[in-house]
Amino acid sequence: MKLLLFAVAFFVLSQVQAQPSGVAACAQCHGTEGQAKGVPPLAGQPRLYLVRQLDAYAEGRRHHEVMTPIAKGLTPQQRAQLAEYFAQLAVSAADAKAKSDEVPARGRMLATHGDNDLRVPACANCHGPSGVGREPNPYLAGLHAKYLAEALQAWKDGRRDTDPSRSMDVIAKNLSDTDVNAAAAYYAAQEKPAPKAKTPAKKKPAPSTKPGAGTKAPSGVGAEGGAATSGGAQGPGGNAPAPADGKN
Amino acid sequence: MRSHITERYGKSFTPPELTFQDWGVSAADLEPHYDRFEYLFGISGKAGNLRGKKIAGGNVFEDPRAREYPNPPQKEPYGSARFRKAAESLGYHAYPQPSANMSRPYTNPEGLQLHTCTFCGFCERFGCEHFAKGSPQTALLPVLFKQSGYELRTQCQVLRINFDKAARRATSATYVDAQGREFEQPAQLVIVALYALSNVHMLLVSGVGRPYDAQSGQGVVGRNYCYQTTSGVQVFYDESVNINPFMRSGSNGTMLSDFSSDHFDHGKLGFVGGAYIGEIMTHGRPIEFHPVPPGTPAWGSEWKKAVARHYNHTSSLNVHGSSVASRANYLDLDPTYKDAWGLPLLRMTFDFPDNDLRMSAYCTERAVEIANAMGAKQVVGDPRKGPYNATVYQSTHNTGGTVMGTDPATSVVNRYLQSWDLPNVFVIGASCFPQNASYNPTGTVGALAYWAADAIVRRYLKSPGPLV
Repeated sequence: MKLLLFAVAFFVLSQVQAQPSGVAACAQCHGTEGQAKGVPPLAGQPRLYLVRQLDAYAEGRRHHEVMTPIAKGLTPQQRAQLAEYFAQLAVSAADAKAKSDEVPARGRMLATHGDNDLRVPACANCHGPSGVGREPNPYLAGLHAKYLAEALQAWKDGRRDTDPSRSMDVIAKNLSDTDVNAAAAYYAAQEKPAPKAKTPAKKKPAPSTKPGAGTKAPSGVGAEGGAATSGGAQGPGGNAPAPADGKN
Repeated sequence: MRSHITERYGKSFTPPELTFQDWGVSAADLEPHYDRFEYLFGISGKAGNLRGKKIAGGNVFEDPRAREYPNPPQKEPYGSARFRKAAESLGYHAYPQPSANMSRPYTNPEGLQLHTCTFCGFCERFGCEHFAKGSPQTALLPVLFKQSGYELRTQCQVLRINFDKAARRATSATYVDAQGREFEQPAQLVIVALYALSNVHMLLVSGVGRPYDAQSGQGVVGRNYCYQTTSGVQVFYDESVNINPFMRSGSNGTMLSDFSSDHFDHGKLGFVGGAYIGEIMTHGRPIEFHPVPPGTPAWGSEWKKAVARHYNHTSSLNVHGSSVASRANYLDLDPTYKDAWGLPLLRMTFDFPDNDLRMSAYCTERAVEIANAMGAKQVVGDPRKGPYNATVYQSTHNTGGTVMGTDPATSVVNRYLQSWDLPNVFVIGASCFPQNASYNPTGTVGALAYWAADAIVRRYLKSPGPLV
């Protein structure tokens, strides 16, 4: 019976994939489009990032008085479906421009270069230029400064455990409170990422209409004995023979 | 190597023109120094032999190590996983290639912190701005800069080592700075630690050690110059197999040592040496990486179409072969051409010994068999063939020329990398390798550097003079 119910639930969910159950709960704060004012945006954040956060709230690796009980009340399947739902929502054009506060130079430095003495790599290395995000790492651009600072502070204090590479744990600990606020202020002042373009339909390459017309390129031949006729080597020069070249 | 080959296959097995020889140090001598180097640079890897106990999933052919690598292996890319499964189905012993890319946050014994590698695909020819690669500027220099007495003089070119022949002592080094001013820096101890080829050049232009003469076979500086006998196998998949070549780090992949060194019977094969074989790809940078099958035009729209078709659906296997020393391969000073300071250029005389071409043919064939087991649509193997051509990039693994050993007649430095002629000169680098044993040289260069430094600090400084 239980199994049957589950099957029915799954059937229903898959039918209304555009809005899985639980969206209503999220929407109360985050909005149905996942980008209500005053709360962190969910729209367009990487699916893997979102599901990791929900799992972390449910498993006690991240804490929030509202989010923790909600995540605990969701099944792992629901968490995955909600993550998928909000990940595919576009950042609305109207909301794309964040107000341009004064950007602290220190924040910009941390974001784009990091700090050699503190051994902090640039935030951009993983979060993309201007914090537009890079799968599976979330975008930071246009998020509220207070939220970003609290996130860093949570890592700094060891209250948050959501990064499998453990990079954020180490990096946040290397930052002073002033640095945390500077980095947060920088990203709060950046423009949210542009709405994701719909994946264009795959264009079929036009068939070659004039076979043999014009000069025919020579077939790839090795430049020396032992050179590949297959190309594709990784060394400079492209047609170098050995894939071993990739290493140096 | 010489003793081992002679013991296993007999004296007449090796042709007289091959001059490979023993190192003068054992794996056990170097183990603590390999260990120290690996912990300094935070090497990611998996041990295959811990204190004599073989461990599946590591390199079971390696010499015993006292403890695990400082960090676990990096994540295995998809193409490498296909290689591992294929290799294991053929009974081989695949293992993750050790790598100086961090697999997790790491603080080295010098107290320097490194971060987890992000697989950005811009590693092996680049500095790491992410503190994710063990290299001097991330793992050592910040500590040295804080040390009193340490000074780094940049943009200087050392022209020669000056010495007192009668006293058998180096006395100073002459260098020019960026403004062209010449200085003489007095020295109690000179450590030559340039690139392998430059080490040889420095000794030759300074007149330290007897230059090698290929006609007579006498002399040592420039002798036993070796290279790397590389070849490759392309594994072309159909479009359902996405290997994402751009998601790679500097030495990311899976390899096997079943066909390197003397891990297989050479008795009937007629060559010495071997190759490690691996699916080790370091990037998918499109200007450098554009695999296309044979018969594809070399340029034009058909070529572009083929690149787009195969870019994400091709694995490359490395066949990273050894290079044995041969009488005819050597380095000396060029009789004609000079550099900006009027010093003769270094001249390289090299071709692949027949031994190495036979090795490449055999090992590439084995790699093709593995490739066929990887579910490829098409496999193309290209064993190395002569003659050597410097215009096509193959490797920067140049070795030899100031080789280490136990006999001053066949080596430039003793087993502590100390010059036989001038005991206050030490030479460090791959130029000290008596031959190239197929693996990438850096680990051994680092281990030998610690081995020599240990001898200098513990013994030489207390009583300066020959250590052997």
